[in-house]
Amino acid sequence: MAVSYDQVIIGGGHNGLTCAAYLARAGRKVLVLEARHVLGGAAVTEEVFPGFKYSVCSYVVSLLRPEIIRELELTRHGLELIPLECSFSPYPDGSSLVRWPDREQTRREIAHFSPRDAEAYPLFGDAMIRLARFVRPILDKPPPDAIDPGLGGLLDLLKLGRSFRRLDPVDRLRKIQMFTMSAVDFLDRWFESDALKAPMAVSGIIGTFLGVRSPGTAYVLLHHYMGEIDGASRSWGFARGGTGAVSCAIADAARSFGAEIRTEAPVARIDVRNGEARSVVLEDGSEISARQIISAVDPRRTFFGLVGREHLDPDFATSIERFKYRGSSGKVNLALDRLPSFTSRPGDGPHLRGDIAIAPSIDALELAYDEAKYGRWSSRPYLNIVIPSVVDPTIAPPGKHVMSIFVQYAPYQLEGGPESWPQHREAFGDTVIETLEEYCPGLSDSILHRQVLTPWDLEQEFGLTEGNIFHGELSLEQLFFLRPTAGWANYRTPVKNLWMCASGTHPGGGVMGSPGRNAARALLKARV
Amino acid sequence: MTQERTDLLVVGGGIDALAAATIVARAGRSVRLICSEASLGEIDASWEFHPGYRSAGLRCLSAPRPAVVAKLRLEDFGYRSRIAPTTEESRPMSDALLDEMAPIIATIQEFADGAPRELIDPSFLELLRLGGMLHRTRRAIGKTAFADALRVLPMSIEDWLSERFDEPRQRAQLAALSLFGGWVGPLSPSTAFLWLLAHAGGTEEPAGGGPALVSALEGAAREAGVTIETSTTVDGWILEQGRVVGASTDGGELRAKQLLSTAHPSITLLERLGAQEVPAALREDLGAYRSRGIVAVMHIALDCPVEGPEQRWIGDSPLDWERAFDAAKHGTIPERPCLRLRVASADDPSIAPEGCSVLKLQVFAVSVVGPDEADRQRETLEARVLEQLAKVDENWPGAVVASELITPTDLEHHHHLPGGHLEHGELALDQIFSLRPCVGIGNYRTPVPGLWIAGAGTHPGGPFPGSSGVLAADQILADG
Amino acid sequence: MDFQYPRGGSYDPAMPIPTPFHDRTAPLCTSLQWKDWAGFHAVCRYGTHLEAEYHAIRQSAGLLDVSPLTKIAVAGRDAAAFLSFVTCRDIQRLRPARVRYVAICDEAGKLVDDGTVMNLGDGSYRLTAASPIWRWIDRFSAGFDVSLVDESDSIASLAIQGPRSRAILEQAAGEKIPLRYFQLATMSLDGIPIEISRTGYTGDLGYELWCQAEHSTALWDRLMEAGKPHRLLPVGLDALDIVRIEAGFVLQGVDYFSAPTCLIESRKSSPFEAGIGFAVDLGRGSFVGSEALERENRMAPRSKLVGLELSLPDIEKLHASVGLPPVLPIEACRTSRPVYIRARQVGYITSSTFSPILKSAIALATVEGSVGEPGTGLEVEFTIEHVHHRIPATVVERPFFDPPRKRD
Repeated sequence: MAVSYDQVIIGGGHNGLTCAAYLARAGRKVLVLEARHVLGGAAVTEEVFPGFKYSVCSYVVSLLRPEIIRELELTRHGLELIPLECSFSPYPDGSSLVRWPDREQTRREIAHFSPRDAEAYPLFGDAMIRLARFVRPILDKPPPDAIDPGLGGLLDLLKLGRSFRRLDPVDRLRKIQMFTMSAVDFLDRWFESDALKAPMAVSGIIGTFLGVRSPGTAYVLLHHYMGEIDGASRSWGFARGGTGAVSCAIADAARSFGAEIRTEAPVARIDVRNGEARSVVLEDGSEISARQIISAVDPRRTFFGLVGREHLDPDFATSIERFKYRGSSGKVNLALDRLPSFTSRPGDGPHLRGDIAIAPSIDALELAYDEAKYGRWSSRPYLNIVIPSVVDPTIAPPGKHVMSIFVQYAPYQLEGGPESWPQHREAFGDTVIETLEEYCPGLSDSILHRQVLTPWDLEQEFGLTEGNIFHGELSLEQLFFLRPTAGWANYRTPVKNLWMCASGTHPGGGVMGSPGRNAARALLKARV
Repeated sequence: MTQERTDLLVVGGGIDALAAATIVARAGRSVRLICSEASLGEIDASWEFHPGYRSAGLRCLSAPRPAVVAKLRLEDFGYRSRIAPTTEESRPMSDALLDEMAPIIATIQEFADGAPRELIDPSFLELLRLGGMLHRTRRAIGKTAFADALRVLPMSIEDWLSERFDEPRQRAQLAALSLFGGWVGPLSPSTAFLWLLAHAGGTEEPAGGGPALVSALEGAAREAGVTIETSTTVDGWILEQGRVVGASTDGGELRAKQLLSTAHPSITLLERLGAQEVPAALREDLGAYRSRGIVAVMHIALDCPVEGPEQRWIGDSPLDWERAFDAAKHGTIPERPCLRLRVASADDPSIAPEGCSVLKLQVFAVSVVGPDEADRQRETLEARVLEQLAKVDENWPGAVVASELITPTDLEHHHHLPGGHLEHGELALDQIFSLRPCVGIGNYRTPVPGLWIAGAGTHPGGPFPGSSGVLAADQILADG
Repeated sequence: MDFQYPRGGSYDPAMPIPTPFHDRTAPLCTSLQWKDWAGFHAVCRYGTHLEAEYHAIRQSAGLLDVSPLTKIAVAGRDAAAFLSFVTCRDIQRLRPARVRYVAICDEAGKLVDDGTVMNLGDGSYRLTAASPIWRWIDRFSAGFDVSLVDESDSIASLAIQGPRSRAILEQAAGEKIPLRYFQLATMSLDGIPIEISRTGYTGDLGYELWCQAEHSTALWDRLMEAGKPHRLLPVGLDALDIVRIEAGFVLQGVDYFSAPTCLIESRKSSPFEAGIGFAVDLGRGSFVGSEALERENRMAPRSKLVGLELSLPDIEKLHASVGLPPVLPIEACRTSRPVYIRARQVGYITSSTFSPILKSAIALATVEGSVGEPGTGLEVEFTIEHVHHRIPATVVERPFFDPPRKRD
């Protein structure tokens, strides 16, 4: 039996690393075990093609908590966040819309499509900020158990109720509507032009297997505005050096507090005896014991892969089985010989320094979703693109560029089964390039290297079950006190000494770091 | 026109209008009810769509809530209920689910039976009551089941059923009922809630369907002394000093102390009022009230008897229903429309000649189209529906004597239903109970003094015929 | 994609765009100090020395490019009724060729915008406002036979303000212009069709001219030519800020905030609280916000916008105490400073300036209703050499500067 630790964390993704950093900071002896050769999980930078650093999966730092940046001193450990300047949406007819940080400029842009919408847009933003203010505190704490709150939980619920009541009645209704209406229906109340509604509606559907017209999708509209109220920290942006820089900075911080991190150390199983987790067993057979074992992989892998069904209460096992993944997205990373030029705004310009959305209309987006329902990838998918090399010269040789393309929809359950994805990988990549080439001709000529990741690849390479980038769908029935399942939303599990700390717990996915931080704090508070 | 002072003028000839008129009249007020059609019942009326063959109303109604039946004394006027026909195949599974979800369904029924509760701006007392209700439910069913129930509410019906039933055909049979009220397909989130809502209507229906219920209500209304005038078209409301004092009709002015309208909320508050009479915010909210109808109704006269189950769902798998919804979503006609099939003549043999039958179909899913496309849509749709029917019984297409298809476009143009929705608006989590049709029209009272609103487009919304009318009547009477 | 100026030529949509007068103002703005006013390039000051521009307004005349104002053409049978409904004033009583200052509120009686309504005499009206308002008023237009056209980009406007402004205008037009205060005329000035209103934001004798954008440079040239002997100077927004404070005028976004943009309720103000209660006509039936405003009118005001005169002797004493000469910058200031009565903060200053013509330090402040009576003594924070002090200030009537020539 090797040296024993206070906590062993399975998975070196950004949440696992965050958890490790907080525990080590509190003086615990922590070990992180990562299967791959590189840290970060899906928040990772890899030089897949020499000279070009891809943010392989996650490509934008979204809502990384300001508290984490401060408390772990991430800037001292090398994290530099470059804000996303704008949102560029080109349209098939040659027109385009850019939404800038400056309100007046954005108003001018939108006015070309609809003067009414131009006036309404800042008001919408203000209304969303008021609602986001209500939601924000929820992210940073474990959810109160609405089923069995206990005194502490009741207080939390009361506080939540009070802050809800402090909202204007109009805002309260909007809050409820956000959870029941579709993104399009919600936006229809404010805006009339498709050009504005389409990119707004879809930006929140990222990673979710729903359409912009599906009920309950309106709340994801808040996501963007949550970043606004993080205020000075301006958490939406690129990390210099790629998204992996976030994970590296957190790992650095963790190490500086004394945590030990091992890569190429895949865990085969968690040793459970009499309902207690005692140690982890690596694939090379070695065993490491710890007082607590914390899983930073998704619930299915944790409970069915590492623990084993036989150690689980049948009801709990059923509930974990019901936790849905349903990957719906893919990724294409390109190394480019030159900057792409968009027909609607040719050449270089500030419009390329943010994110670029290929979302031609609401109908087109809905059609893209419809196709995926029946087991096909969208023939004209929604693309969310960034060219980080435009603001970050460290990730590509001078004059050359990296393009990160997020693709939706690519259903894990392909008609021929998920394992048929490899056969279609190149065809899928071609669809993406063809779609994009309609807006920036000449793109394919400039491609030096192409990496295509299907949901199958996300699962096989990065451990994301069914290719779901959030460790589980971010749908209402799997959020908040129901994530991953009712009664177990506070980072503990029914297996004694086994905890969870990644996106499969509250508040869910994205490069936030909250699950990791919340889990560490819950564990420390529990004094175990 | 008469100079008598009517206490309440009820504008509308449907179930809620009759129910409200009856309650108010029985309390001793003078009530006059007017409607534009020649006979009462609106879309629940029966009419002869072909010589010898009558329709059975456009909706498939659930039985009114027991409290409503009792309060109106409907059984004294010939109303009888019967067990609603179900598909035998799905019965056991349906029963199991209903058992499990019984407390949630009971909660929904409790909401429907009571006056609209303030959900957005509840007073402390109301919050306590709400909390108490949730607490009681949790105690009754235990933590796990309670958590599960909360979990289920936002889910899609397909996801929920997939957790228990592997067979797509089974799931399609079970899921179908949830799809006829909203703008949804089986993969849409919140359809699990719509399923629960649909089942909160109970297992019974009026014997003789909508027409029989209308007939009983008419009897009750007349006995209570309600003056009923049909074939009277309303242009607008008459306002004096900001107060509604009557309606202007094609027959002149009709004045009353109060006015209750059971039309679609947009008609009641937008079409029949000047824009300045309604606050802009309310006008916008009403504009955002979604009423996209996707159900068409077809009555078919067959010159042969029909064997077999009285109700059938035609749509083999959830994806078939989803495809049909997709078509309507994009404004096209589904290749294979899905159907709710009722042998209406089995319930009421008098609607067809001896040895003949009337089939009543609710067709899913059909979108509203422009008037120039309406005829083409109807033709294509009829043909495709008959193709579907042929798969059920190959003899049927040959036995068709006549048919009448009413699409959402027809509902919009000929039946005063903006959007073409049979329930005066989509059933959805943000358009149900006191949120229906929008905030600001609580307790059936509009911002315009003297003008009340009730009907399918108000609380509670869902399979509760007459509840709105009865609750509105209570409010009108309580108002003095 | 082609983004076109109203008068042709394409531009980069990411930057503010030039006004129709840009070709004339740009070469004159040697200080290169511009700001973004409603998406347009607007001159802050032409030269580096602000005083000259200020004194031009008060001594001779200043010419200001005010094209970034929102202008909406309101026409149709119900135009007056509509404007009476959507603004707080009874526009149905606004005679032809007259202008009226209006407040625009939301249904809760909170200010959304302020501006003017002009009765153009042909059955149509022009609404001007500080910020875009077209969608806002359009929401209330259902049921009115009215058309609303946003003319902000197609109409250029200039303000010519100061004691010589009338003389300059009459010289440029070649005829007498007997306009009364808040009166309007449609005429042709040197062949250019314009509207002239005797209005302005300076509290002085002055006029605003409105013309189609394509005539803008011709109009500018004519006025500058006619103004030369009268010492007409082009003037930027910084000087305007000083004179408008002297005139006691509030500025949206500084002295009050447009209600729909407010993140918190306490930032909203009613017209009564923002000191423009005179722009509200009550007791005439319902208009947007009337219910709330009637109610508020019956109660004591929660807060008031008042004029403050800071004690110059005390300011001079403070300067002397650190050995500095008592020189106050001639520049308007938008920094919020607390206002006290003894130990308690009772309000805050929103706009302040030293007034060269009055030789006093003046400010606009929002204070609790009970302390808003003219003559009330308050204390204001004043910092000298990084140290906070408090100096006395007195509530005075607005406007601070009100020359008879304004109305003659």
